Formats: sequence, C-alpha cells, structure tokens
Amino acid sequence: MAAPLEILTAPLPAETDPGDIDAYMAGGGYGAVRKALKSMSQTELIEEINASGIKGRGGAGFSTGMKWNLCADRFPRYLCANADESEPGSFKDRHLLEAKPHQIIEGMIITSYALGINLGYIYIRGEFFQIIDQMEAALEDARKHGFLGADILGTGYDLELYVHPGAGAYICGEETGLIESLEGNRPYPRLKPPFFPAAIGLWGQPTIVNNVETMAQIATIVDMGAEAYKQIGSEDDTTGPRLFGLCGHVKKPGIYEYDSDVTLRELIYDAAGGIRDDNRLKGVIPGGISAPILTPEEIDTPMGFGALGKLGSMGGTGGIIVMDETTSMVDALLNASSFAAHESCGQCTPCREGVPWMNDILRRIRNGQGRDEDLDLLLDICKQIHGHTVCVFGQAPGVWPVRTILVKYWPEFRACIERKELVVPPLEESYLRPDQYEHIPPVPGNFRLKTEEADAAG
Amino acid sequence: MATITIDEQQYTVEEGRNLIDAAADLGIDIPHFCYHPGLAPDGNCRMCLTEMEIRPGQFGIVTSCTIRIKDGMNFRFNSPAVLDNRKGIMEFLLINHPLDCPWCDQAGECKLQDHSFDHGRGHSRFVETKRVPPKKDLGPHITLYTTRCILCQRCTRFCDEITGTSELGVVQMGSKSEIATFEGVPLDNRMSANVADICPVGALVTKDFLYKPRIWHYDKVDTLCPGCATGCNTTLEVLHQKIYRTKPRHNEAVNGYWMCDEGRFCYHGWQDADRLQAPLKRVDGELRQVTWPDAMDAAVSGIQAVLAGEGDSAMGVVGSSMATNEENYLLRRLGAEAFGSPRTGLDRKPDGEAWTSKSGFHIDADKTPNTRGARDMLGAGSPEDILRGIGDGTIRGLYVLGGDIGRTLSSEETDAFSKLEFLVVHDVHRSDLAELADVVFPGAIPFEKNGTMTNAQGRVQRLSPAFPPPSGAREDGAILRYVGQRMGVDLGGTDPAGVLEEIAGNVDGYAGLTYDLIGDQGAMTGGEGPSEAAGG
Repeated sequence: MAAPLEILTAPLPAETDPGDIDAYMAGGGYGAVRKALKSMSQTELIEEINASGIKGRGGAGFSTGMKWNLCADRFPRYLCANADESEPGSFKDRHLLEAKPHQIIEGMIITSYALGINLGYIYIRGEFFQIIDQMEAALEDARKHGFLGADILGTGYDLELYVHPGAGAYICGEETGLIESLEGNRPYPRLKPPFFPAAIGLWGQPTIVNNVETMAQIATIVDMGAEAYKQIGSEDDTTGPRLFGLCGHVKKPGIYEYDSDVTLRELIYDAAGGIRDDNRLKGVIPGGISAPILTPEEIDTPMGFGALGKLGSMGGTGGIIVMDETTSMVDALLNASSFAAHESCGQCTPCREGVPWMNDILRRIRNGQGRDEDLDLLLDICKQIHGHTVCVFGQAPGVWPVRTILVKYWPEFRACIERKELVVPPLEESYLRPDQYEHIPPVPGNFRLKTEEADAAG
Repeated sequence: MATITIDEQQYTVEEGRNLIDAAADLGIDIPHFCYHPGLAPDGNCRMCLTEMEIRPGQFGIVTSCTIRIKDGMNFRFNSPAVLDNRKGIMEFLLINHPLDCPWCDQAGECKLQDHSFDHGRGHSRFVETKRVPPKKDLGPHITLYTTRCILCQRCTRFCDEITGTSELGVVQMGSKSEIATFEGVPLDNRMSANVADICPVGALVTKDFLYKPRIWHYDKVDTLCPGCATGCNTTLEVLHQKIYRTKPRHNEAVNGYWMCDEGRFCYHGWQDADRLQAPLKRVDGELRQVTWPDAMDAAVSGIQAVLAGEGDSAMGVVGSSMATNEENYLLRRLGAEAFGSPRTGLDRKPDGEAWTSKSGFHIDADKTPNTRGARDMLGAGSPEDILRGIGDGTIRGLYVLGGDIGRTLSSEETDAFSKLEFLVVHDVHRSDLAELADVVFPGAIPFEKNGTMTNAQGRVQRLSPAFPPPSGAREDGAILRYVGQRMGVDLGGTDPAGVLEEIAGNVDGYAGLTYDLIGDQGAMTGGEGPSEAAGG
C-alpha cells in the first residue's frame, strides 16, 4: 500500500497565512532560489531538470526538460505560468495557488533564471479572484525581499513577474490561447505546427508555458536534487510527487499527494475512504473530464502517465471523478458534453459545429427521444472531429468522453434508446468488459467496439 | 522552382508559394473557405486539410493554406482521410445553414454550394433545431445574414489586415459565435463593400445588389473603374444594357483584389444620369435637339467662322481626363490638322480626398481615371491657360471633350466660356458646360467606351464597353472622326487598337504598346512589360 507524501502539500506552521513570506521562509522557503541563483549555472539547472525526468503537470504529461530544450535561441524569452485551471474535476492548481503561492513563485524564478527570461506572467483563472489578490500580495512580498526585480540576491539577474487574470474561458488555458489572451486578443488557439510557443510565442518571441504545479515541482527538484526526486515514483513512467484531486462519489473528497505508482483503487478506497454509502463503483475518470473513463475492472492501474496511457486513458490533471452505481452514464456524458459544447471557442468548424451537435443528440437520448441510429452517428461525428481541429480541445473534452463513455457503457445507452427514457440499468448490465472494446493507439480516447460483441450487446 | 509530388505525380511549382495557390496554378482545386490569396492564412475552416509526408513513409494531416512549397514535399489530395474530412466539414457547415439558396444573393457563386456539390453527402443526418441568429445591418453598404455565416473570418481579417479599421469582430463563443460590430461603430470605411466579395457564402451582402436578378443571367465585362486615377480593374455585371454590380478584378500591380466603395457604386451616377438622346444646337439663344447632320453643319460652320477670323489659332481644344487615350489623341490630331495648331488644355474637376489603406491600397485624390493619359496625348497646358486665352481674346472658339457627370463650372469658368464666340462640347448630359455650348454632341460614358487609359502610376490599361451608347449618342472617337471628315481631315479608323498603334508611334513613352501587350493586366508606359510595377 502506497504511503501519502507531504512534499508539495507540506503544511506551513500552524495559523499562518499561506501568503506569509516569513512563515514560508522560516520553513526553508526560497532556499531553492538561493541555491539555483547562487550556486548553479543555467546549464546545470537545465541538466538537473532533465535528469529529474519531470513530466509537465498540465495534463499532457510532456517532458518539461524537453520543452525547455526546444526553446529557440532568441531573446527576449517569456515565461507563462498557466494557472487557468478549468478542467472539470480538477482543483489541484487551485489548492497549490491557495496553499503555496510562494513555492510557485520560487519555481518561476528558477525557471526564468535557467532559461534567461526576464519577464514572466502568471495567468490565473479569472474566477479565482481571491487567489489573484493573494498572488499579487505574494509577488509584492517577494519583491520586497529581493527575490524579484533588479539584481536578485546580488547576482545581477533581473526578473519581473506579473499576474494576469484569466479571460473567462476554458480555452484561455490552451497554451497558445493563453498567449493570445495575454496579448489582448480573443483566445483563439494558434495553428501548430508550424510554430510552437517555444519558437514563436508571446509577442512573437520564444515562450515557455508551464503549468503552475510544474512550477512548484521545479522548486522541489532544485530543493531536493534530481537524484532524490526521481526516486519518487518510477523512473520509467512518471517521477516525482503528484497531486490527485478526488471528487464525486467518494467519502472524503480532497487533494491527496502520492507518487505515481499509487493505484487508482488505493486512491479511491484508501485515500478517499471509499465510495459513498458503500455503493459499488461504476466508472472513474482519472485525470479531468478529458481523460477517458475507466470501468471497475480497470482501476488497479498505477497512476503514471505511461500506465494510464496503456489503457487508452491519460494522466491528465490528476482530477479524479468517481461515479458510483447510481450514476446515469447518459447523464454524466451529457454533462461532460454540455461543458465542451459551451466552452468550444468557435474558431474552427469541426469543433464549433460538431461538439454542440453531439450535445444535442445526447440531450435527445437523455430525454427519451433517442433513435436507433444515434449512437453510430455520435461515433461518426467523433471521427469527423478527431484530428481535424486547430487545437486539441475538439478531441480532448470534445470527443474522448463521448467515444469512451459511449463505447464502454454501450448497453446503458442502448437501454435508454430502446425504453425511450433515462434508465440506470443494474451495474452488471450497464457496461462492457475490457475484452469487448479496444483502444486503438497511440491516441488516447480512440476506442471502438469489437464488432461481434457490439452486435451481441446491441 | 521546386519539385513536389501530388498523389504520386511530380510537378514543378514556384518555391515558397502557398499550396492552395500552387495547386490552383496546376489546375488542381483544393476546396477551402477561409483562405483568400489577398489575406494571411488563418486555417480555421479545416476544409483544405490534405495529407503531407511528415516523416519518410508517414503522412499527416495539414492545412494546405499554411503550407509554403519546399522542394521534395509529398502530398496526398485524394486519400480516404482527406476525402472523409471534406465530407465531414461540409456536413458540419451545413447542419445549421438555412439552405435558403433560392433567395440567397450568393447562389450560383457560392463556395458552400460548389463544395457541397463536390463533397457533400446529399442528405442530412441532422434532426436537431437549427440556430437562427438574427440578420444584422452592419453599415451603410453591408447586411449580414447571420444564419448563413460559416465564420471563416475573411471579413474580420480584411478589416484588420487591409483597411486597418477593425470594425468587425466575433462576439460570443463556440456555436453562438457571430460576426458583429461594436455598438455605435458600424462597418463604414472606404473599402467596406469588399467584405461582400470575399464572403464565400451569402452571409455578407451589399444592400446595393440585394434581391437583384440571379447572378447567372449577367454578362460579365472586364473594364476599369472610372472613379479615380488609381484605375482599379473591375468586372461589370450587366443585364439588358444595365449595370447591376461592379466587382474588383485582380491586378496585383494596381488594386490587388480590392476596390473602394466610391468606385464600386459610382456606376449609379452615370447610369441614372439624364442622358442626351440627340445632339443639341443653340437656336435663338436656346439649346434645341437637332439631327446629327444638322449639328455637324452647325459645328463645322461655327469652327470655320472662328478660324476665318483674326489670329493664328483662335480655336482651342480641351481634352478630357474622362476620355480614353485614343479619344484624346484623335482630338489632338483634329486640332492640329483641322484647327491650325490650337492651344490645348485638359478639363478636370477639382480633387477629392485621397486615402491609403493599411495594406497600401490607394484611393487617388484625382477623381478622374485618365488625367495622365490625356496629358500624355495632348501635351496639354493648364485649364488656367485656356481661361487666360479666352480672357485676352486669343482663344475665341473652343472644342471641349466633356463627359464627366461630376463636373460643375465655377463662376470664373462660366464667365470665361460665355465670352467665347463658338463652343462645341461633347457631353453625356446637360452639364453646366453643355448649357453654355453652341453645339453639344452626345457622347459616351466610360462604361460605354472602348480604348485605353493611363493611371496615375503610368500603367496603360484597357476599357471594354458594357453596352453601346444610347441610340442618339455616339462614341466620342466616331464623333471626332466625323467632324474631321467634314473639315477635310481623315483621322483614320476609330478602332482603338489601330489608334493605339498610331499613338505608340507618335507619343513619348507609349512606344511598343499594343492591345495584346496591354492584355487584361495593363502595361507600363516607358517601355516596361505588363504586370511589372509594384503597388496595389
């Protein structure tokens, strides 16, 4: 049984304000900044991050070291810490922002120093207005203590960090949408390829966009050293501590810190105390609404990005949504789809038209007006959207939940259509077993029924 | 040049060219909505997705509109993935589309119709309720049929990139997105109606053309805009001797893909003018309609009376910047050969307001199309020179090529022209000038002219007539030739191509120019070939 960690969630001294820089420093805070700026070269720092094996915590699990290495050799460069946490089911960034603003600032200072950046932004979801105020105050304190501004700690290195409130849409958290929003435009994601932000980003300059948790982890890596950091978790999957936010039908929802070897079962049944009313599990979304759902048979998986990827799901944001046997999967999917239909930015055709169309069809099914051909139509629309959009929004929250929940809970959707009303069949009859559907790699969420079983089930 | 592979066939195309344009050069159509060659690519419609070899043997989906040709690129335009996507995009674009083709302005020239025919399903799988956002009045010239909009954003990009006025934007998000203006800031710039041209569907329409006859009934005539000295290349859409619409015709060296609103809608002024239906002769102090022979007799005897009087060149001739090079040239010859080397002038109305857009599109202050050409032909002096000549009595008779409906006379001009012993005027309506004349010949408006004009940058371009002049009127070249004949001077044929040949032999800077060389893109004076000047 995995043991909970207290690295990112290490408590501050009792009764101190999380924004209190003195309390943070009393516990060793800003030690990583001193260590990095005073005793490490930029190259050493980048090597240290590379050696730690850290994967970005924004959701895709892309290697942070590799992202940094891709940064074009042009200056000025900019840093954007992405705190536009909007993925349904995710609240770990919010927790960190509330509890450890200074650790995020520390990570940003180290990152900026390592990459020769003199100007950074922390883009905070607009609804987090208290956090925005707290972060502004924390930056001011850091400035007063000489960690920001000109000639930081007497090293001759200059850095300014600014808070930018989010513009109120999910897509503002897409890295190029975020950049457009920072530039004052509608957050329409940019076309990539040909150019990624590390080559042409904010104001046309090389820009690193990293999740705020990644920033906090950078401070941790420098603090404990890459060698110690990569002992946490597994080196061939995901290193370092992870924050998991459990929500839904669990007894103790909240933020839990574990290494990535912890299994989903352990998180649900041990960390979060099991399912409400001791009901049986029906399905669990392992990393925010975009992460393809796992059925009860699949929860003994470790929570590394690689392990979840093998199941056709993904690590995502670590926001775990647990659903018990009373849940209507038709309702759950309609909910997810309504979110995607509302948040589609409208820039490109497949997402703007296809995602709301799927939402309309699902609403019809939920209201007892489903037609026999609707499920195949849904899968066909998924196919027409997938891979054809400007950014991954169309497929991540747009297509993947439909494709996976629909395929895995096919019998429940069929029942709804046949009986022309919303029904929640007994658990055993509501979903397919793993041998009845298949994942087509390498893309997550690319599921299809195995034909004969589909015929039998349908 | 670069060698590329398309569906396993090799082609040589221009390196760095946009893939959609390069394919079009080869006669291959890559369907698209949001890409327009006059605007930066945006990649939002996703219709142009094709497959490109990303790693050896591995193909990936790319937006054709953002691909710049490099040597060795390998594409698949007709793979199942590409064709399936087109079918999918067509379905997505049509699910909320009203399919109101029978009364849509765009029908017949609509990309949605064309691509639906080529790539659509033929039936709809959509049983939900369509979105029905309301129609919007965007500005003085443009209405937005919001239901038809496919949000390709060509219009918003036009206002950002070309005019730099940015009146249009997108409001709301996702499927509720709509093109809109800010409250109280309508789409009102000097090029606003171009958005209707570039709208690939029937969403943006000009109020001017709304509910006019269906577009397939029109004859199309390639000519020039007579609105200013820029000389935008245009295509007129004509039915039953009436112009219904002007559209800019692409000429990279002059106007790019655009034209200004003044020029676009100026045909109304010409077309609605109360045209002269027969020659006029002053009888007992009043202008009366007479027959052509009658008017000719009056003109010739009047001119001869002036010439018979004292002084070397008592006749003056005044060319027109509304007339073609050929007409002005024939006037010069008429003057030189029949009037005894008269003083020449050029009549031009006062300047209007010049404007240059963000992208460099220029609206000239000179509101006449052929000032430069007329000067080249006539070697003309200033209007003041003619007035001075009338004032000091050295000019007692005047032959004026008028024909500008926008021309009004100042009181000095009226006073001067009233002093003339004899005044012959070509005009198209009873202008201030015509009212002072002894003989008025009804001529042609620019839309009825065949010939060439030289724009402000020195580019000689061709006009073609949309229809003949009214039955009582004549082309100005023919009138000049008739007058010459009556005065014993043979001005030769009036076929403009032949006159141009003569011009090429006699006028500085026009050497070597022929109708063929000028073609549909024009040719520079001073010996350059066609389409070589920068600008637009």
